[in-house]
Amino acid sequence: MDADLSPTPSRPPKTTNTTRRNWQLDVLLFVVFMLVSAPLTTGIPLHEWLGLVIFAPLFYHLVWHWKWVAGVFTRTSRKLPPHTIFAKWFNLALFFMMLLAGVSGLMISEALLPMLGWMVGPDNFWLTVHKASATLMMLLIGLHLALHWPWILQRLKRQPTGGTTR
Amino acid sequence: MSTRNAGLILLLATLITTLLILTLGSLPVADALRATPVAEGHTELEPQGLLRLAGLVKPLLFMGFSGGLTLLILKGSNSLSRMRKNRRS
Repeated sequence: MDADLSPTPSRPPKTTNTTRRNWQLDVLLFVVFMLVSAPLTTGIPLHEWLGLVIFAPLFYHLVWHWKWVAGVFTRTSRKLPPHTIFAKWFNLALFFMMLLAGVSGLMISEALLPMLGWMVGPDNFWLTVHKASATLMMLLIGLHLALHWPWILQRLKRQPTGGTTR
Repeated sequence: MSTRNAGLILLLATLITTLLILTLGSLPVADALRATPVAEGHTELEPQGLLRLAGLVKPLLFMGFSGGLTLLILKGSNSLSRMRKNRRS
C-alpha cells in the first residue's frame, strides 16, 4: 500500500473536491466538538445528543483518512519516521479518549437514555471518568490542531476564494 | 482497502474498546469511588442568558493552551535544527 505516512497530508490530493470535503467535515467536527465540550452553553439534553451525534463525523473523518491509518498500523515502527510514530500513538490515544468520554457520558446520562426508557442513576465513578477524559480530550484536540496547523492556515487563506487548491 | 472495510474495522475497534471501557466499571477502584457521595452532578448546570457563553471558555482555554504550547515547541525545535544545519555548513 502506498500510503502517505506524514502527520499532515504532504502530497497534493487527487482532487479539489476531496480537500474541500475534508475541510468541511473537519470544520463541522470542530464546531460540534466545541458545543459538546460546553454543556454550560448547550444545556444537558443537547450536550448528550451532540455527544452521540459527534461520532458520525468522527467516523467519517477516520474513514476518509483510512489510507494513513492503515499505512501506519500495518508497518513496523522501525520503517516509520519519528513524527509519524508519535502521530500514530497520539491519534490512537485521542480515539480512545473520545470513546471513554462518550461511554462514560452515556453511563451518567440524564436526558438521552431516560428518554429511551433506560434509567441510569448518578455514579461518581463514571462522572469522574467523564470529566477527566473530557478535559484531557480538550488538551489532545488542541495538540491535534497544532500538528495540522500549516494545513489549517492554508485552508483558511483559500476559503474566501471558493476553496481553490493546489 | 475499501471504505466499507475501513468502516467495519472501525466499528469493530469501537465495539471492543467500548466493552473494555465498560469493564472499568467493575474494578475495585470504581466501587471505592461509588462509595463516596456524588459531589457534583450535571443537573445544576442551568445557566441563564449570556452566562451560557461562559461554558465555551474552558474548551477554548484548554485547546488554546495545548495547541499554543505545541506550536511554540515545534517552532523552537525547527529553529534549533536550522541553526545546527547552518553551523554544519
